[in-house]
Amino acid sequence: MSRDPGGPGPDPQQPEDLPEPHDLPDSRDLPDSRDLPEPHDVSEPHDVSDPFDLGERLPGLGAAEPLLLRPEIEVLPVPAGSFERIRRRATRRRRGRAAAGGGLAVAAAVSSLYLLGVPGPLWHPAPPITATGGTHAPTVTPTPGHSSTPTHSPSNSPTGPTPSASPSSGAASADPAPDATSAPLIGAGSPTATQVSGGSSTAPGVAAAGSCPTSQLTAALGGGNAGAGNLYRYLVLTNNGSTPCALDGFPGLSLLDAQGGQLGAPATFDHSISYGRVVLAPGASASATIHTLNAGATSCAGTSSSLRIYPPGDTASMVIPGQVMLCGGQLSVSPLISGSGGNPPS
Amino acid sequence: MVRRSHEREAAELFAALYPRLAGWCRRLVDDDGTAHEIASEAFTRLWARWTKVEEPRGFLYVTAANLVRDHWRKMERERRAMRRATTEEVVKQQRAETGDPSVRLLVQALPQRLRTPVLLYYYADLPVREVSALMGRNEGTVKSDLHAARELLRAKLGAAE
Repeated sequence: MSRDPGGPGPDPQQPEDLPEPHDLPDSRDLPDSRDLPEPHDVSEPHDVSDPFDLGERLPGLGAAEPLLLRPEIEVLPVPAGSFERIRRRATRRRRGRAAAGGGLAVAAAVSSLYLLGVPGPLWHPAPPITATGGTHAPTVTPTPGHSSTPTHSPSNSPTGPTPSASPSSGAASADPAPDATSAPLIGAGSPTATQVSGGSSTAPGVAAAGSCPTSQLTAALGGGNAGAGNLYRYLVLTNNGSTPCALDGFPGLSLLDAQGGQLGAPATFDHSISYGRVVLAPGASASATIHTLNAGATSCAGTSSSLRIYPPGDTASMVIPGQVMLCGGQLSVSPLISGSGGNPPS
Repeated sequence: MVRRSHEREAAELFAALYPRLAGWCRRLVDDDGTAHEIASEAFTRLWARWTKVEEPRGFLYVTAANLVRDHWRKMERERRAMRRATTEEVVKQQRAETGDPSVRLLVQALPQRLRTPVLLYYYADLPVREVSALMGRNEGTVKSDLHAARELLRAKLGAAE
């Protein structure tokens, strides 16, 4: 079948001598139809004995040939936060283009995007979109129009860079200054976030529950998953008190080395996921997903010995043992959602 | 959920392709900053245009190659403003600067029709079948273009030596 002479082959005993496809004199001017669903009628996969693969056929290049055409490319490490930056820039540009298209076109585009389930403008809190809802967790429109920078000035921590009352503060004393300024709080005490994410941990009649103080929480690294160079670990916060309390937004997260010094920059916030207030009954957990890259394609700064965590709504941090490898400067964290399976729940 | 899986796909794509794409750009330009700029711009265009692309590598490399060429043109204009230089001198100068003539020569020397399949086949590591699908040309044409590109490169290399 794969040797089907396809008509003109006159000599059934020498099928290897069929004319090579690249000898066909045709088709320099084929229409540029990029939507072709399939490469044409060729049923054989790419034939490794193609003459253009053979350097010997090109006298004169010699040893330079492999270097020329398959050069060793040294990879460049991914700059910290560049993925998020590029995603935001692409979204802005996409929206700009849509806006330039005029009202009707925008409406059509938006609705078709929605019908297709394409993320598109959906993963930004654009007012026309939120009405559609229903992608996952109830969308709480975040209060500030933050599309550019992941770090927010804490709204309720006028105390400034106080070294936190951390349970194991011995580790922090080595290098308090960069740490205290670098682990930001977000969503803390935001009075407008009244929506409560649905979840098993939501106890009835607890809408008035206050923010979980750090002292009432236990943190741990949970499970995770991985794919194509990315690592995802779940950061689980559990209410160990006897009263319900609430978490709203992103946990601050920094990696600490064995001496307690900070490793790399604190985690950036993944704003592609909307967040809402999560009320934790006693014993219930909320979790966020930590996104890092694995070694290989990028250079690594090291592996943490412990993690410093600032729950949203409290300026006090806690430090727990935890090994997270920092590669390519990628360290971001999702908002908290109820359950211990990360956000979105696995 | 749909949204998150798209975002995760994008993150995976980025992690898998960005370092090499940026490294490839770095061989073509003179500093890390410009290389990152170009690689970032290629990804931005990818995602600003499409939410889902079957074969993003091809788009990324072709876009980056065009951006690199634009960058060269700009640099060349600036050089010309300072002093007259023939194309050959510019090429030689670039060879001396980077110590790596191959990739730059490659992209510079080839006409668009030949450059694209070379980029896709050799640098994005796509099989001929995918190159042909991406370009809307049949495989025979792609193969003969690759062949012609090699001939042309050989001639250029010989002339520059």
